[in-house]
Amino acid sequence: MARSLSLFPHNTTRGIGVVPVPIFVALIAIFDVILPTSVAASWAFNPLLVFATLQTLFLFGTSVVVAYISLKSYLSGGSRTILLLGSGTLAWGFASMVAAWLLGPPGGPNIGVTISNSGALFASLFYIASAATTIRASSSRDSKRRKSKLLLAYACAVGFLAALTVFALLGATPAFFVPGAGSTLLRQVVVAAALFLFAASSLLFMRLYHDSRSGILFWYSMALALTTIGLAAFYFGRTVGDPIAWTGRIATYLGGIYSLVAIWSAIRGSHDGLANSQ
Amino acid sequence: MARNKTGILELDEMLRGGFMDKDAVMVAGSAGTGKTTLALEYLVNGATQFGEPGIYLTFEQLPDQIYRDAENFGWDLRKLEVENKLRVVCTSPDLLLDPEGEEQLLGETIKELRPRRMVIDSLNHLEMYVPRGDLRKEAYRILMYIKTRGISPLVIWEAQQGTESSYAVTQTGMSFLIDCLVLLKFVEINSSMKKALVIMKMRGSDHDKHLREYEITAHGVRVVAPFSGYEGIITGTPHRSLTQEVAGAWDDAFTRTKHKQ
Repeated sequence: MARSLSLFPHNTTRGIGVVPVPIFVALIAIFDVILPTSVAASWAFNPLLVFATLQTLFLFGTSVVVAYISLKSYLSGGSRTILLLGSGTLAWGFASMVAAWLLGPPGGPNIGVTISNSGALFASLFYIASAATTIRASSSRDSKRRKSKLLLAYACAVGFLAALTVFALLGATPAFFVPGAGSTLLRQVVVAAALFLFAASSLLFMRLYHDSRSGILFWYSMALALTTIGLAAFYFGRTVGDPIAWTGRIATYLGGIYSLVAIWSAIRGSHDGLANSQ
Repeated sequence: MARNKTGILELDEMLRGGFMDKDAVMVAGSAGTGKTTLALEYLVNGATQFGEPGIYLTFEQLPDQIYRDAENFGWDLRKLEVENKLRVVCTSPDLLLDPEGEEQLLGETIKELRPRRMVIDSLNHLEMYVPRGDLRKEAYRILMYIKTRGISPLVIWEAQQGTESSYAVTQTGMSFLIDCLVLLKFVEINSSMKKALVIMKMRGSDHDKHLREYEITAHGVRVVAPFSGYEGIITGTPHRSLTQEVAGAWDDAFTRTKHKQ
């Protein structure tokens, strides 16, 4: 019989892990209903250094850890699911960090918003591709050229966003956010698409969790769910740094923490499925 | 720098092109690891692919056994002997240990065949015939005889499987005679026995330092991937590093259910 190393039974900790999701959804809904745009703008709080530091720590930092574990996992196992997951995580973390550091002047918030939202959509494509590979049984685990494929995928994830950043800085990208006017239609479409793909990825991984009861899958799919909520806040937010935006940001930071909890689950080797089988 | 290719592609890559010409090579490993197979393949490939005739000097097996075992890998030693590309010499160690024994035993064959490669299978047999402590001297004499005739020697050493005995090669005090040491070893990974190959030493040349898995196939030795992520293979207690354990659990979580379907 495997002994659990956690203080609480898995069902309890996972039950607690679900709680923030409805809370964040409710908060965004409440703010959306009760906050007039003018009030939201006056409550906007956006200390750029603090924000950039938080983004770097909670999103980029955690994404590097997940991407590294995925890297090691792919090199030894060769699973495409893992390769795409690692690439998506890296893209999301990189975009979040770069966007935060470029949110302020001289370019104004449009550059940061463009990178952040486009990066979210780009990352979500990796995530949905990763999640889609779990739908059908596949025995394809290429053993050849894993290193070069990994390098290509990770370089693609970071390279695209680096190029996007350069184009955004040069003013060669369409506007996502116009100060005074708010989000453009393009931003709304991009965020909506990313939101949908993140949500779908989260659901597909959660479906996999229901089959395996793996703690890793639970916490990772919850991390994606919280990221989805963060993107929803982009969608409903009135202005950069308003209460809705901060609710979304905190949800994504918690998502970063959840992805670390998923790694911690891997360290403990405490999949429920494994424990149940012993 | 001239190299003697083994003809085993992955091994030649590990050796950065092959053994250094005229270097004394030792292939060490416990019984059943495929030392003789590797040595024979080295000779056969030398004769058939690289135009380098060879001599297989054995104290261990009778010729018929050697021909039969080689045929199982598709190597027709008799044909190679007829074509003057190979000689199989079965003898007793005491003949070789006689003063001038090597010349009497091999002189004529060397003149006739003009070999470039020679395998001695194995030094352990010589050890049985010499007083304790004299093996180094005798091995030195024989290796020098071979090298001075422009031949690259490869000697086989049967080491006991185990932690310390992996280094028994050096404990015999012959390491200074050996320019290149290839160690073959059984390792237990995930409750199955696998074979591991590592180049422990290669004097004057860079070489692959990874432990690699190898298999004895129907066509000879095939070196596969490195044992990445495992520690303690040489000491006989392989285990995965923490990072590798986590990576394995990560992989299991995202792919295990899928493979069950």
